[in-house]
Amino acid sequence: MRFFDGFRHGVRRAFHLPAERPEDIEREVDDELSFHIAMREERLRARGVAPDIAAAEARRRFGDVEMIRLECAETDRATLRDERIGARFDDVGRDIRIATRSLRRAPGFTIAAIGLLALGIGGTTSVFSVINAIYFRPLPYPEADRLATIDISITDPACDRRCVRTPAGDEVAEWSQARTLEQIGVIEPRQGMVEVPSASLVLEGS
Amino acid sequence: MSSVEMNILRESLDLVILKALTWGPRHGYAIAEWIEGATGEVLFVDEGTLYPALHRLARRKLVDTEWGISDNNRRAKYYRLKPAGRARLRQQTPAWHHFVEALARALSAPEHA
Repeated sequence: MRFFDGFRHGVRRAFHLPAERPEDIEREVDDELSFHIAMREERLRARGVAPDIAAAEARRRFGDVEMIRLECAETDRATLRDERIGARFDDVGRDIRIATRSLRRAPGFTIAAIGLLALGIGGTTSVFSVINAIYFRPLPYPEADRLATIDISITDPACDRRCVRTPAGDEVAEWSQARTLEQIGVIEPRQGMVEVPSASLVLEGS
Repeated sequence: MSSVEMNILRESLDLVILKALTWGPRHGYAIAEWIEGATGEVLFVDEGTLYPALHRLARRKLVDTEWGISDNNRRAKYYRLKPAGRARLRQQTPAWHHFVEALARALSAPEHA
């Protein structure tokens, strides 16, 4: 039995398990305090004190057993809580150590994993910086958050087919009267042709 | 008792317990006996007050605990001094000597006539 106790203790220590379960705490405190009182009683009897007097005297000298019991158990519960938190940190540390060791043992895998991670992170970052520049970053104009695009198509009645023309200067001036707009500018889409020996390229511009 | 008085008592009890463990692991009863012999039974009112102090020392990781078998074949909880406890004893002892001497000097000063 002693061997077994020792072994269990060794196992506990090796795995950083808390020394006691909460339900064990009060039993262990009781055992410890009754051991003391029993020892005191025994010593008194060995000195020739009558058994009933020895028992009473041992208790009297010990003091308030119930209060001491509660205080010890309270302290132990706090210790156990600390140890559990500590054990959790130990677990994380151990996981990291095991991971490093196995990665070192398989260098090919490690390099592949790191390479893939680098590609993945690099790819996402570069795509994000483009998206960020196009969609999220404010335009490089003063008070960029107040800029808005208004799409207007004016169909020219003079044109027999459905064709779209650029607003005339007086039209733009009229729009500028709108109280919701402070300033107004016009972007006009244009198409141009560039002749290259092998093919024609259509360029869109404004 | 005021908190200052409590602190002085607690601290001195802690230190005496650490001292009792410098000769190797001991269970609570053996510590109580050693204190009794070493101080002439004057230091502590109730023997039981030793135990909350021991459990506090364990919580502060100044001592280790382990269940073992006592000389008379009983299961007993043993306390062992940890390096931190030994360091604390070494560090606190001079301050206590100093304190006790100063207190004794002050209290034994002749009264002003």
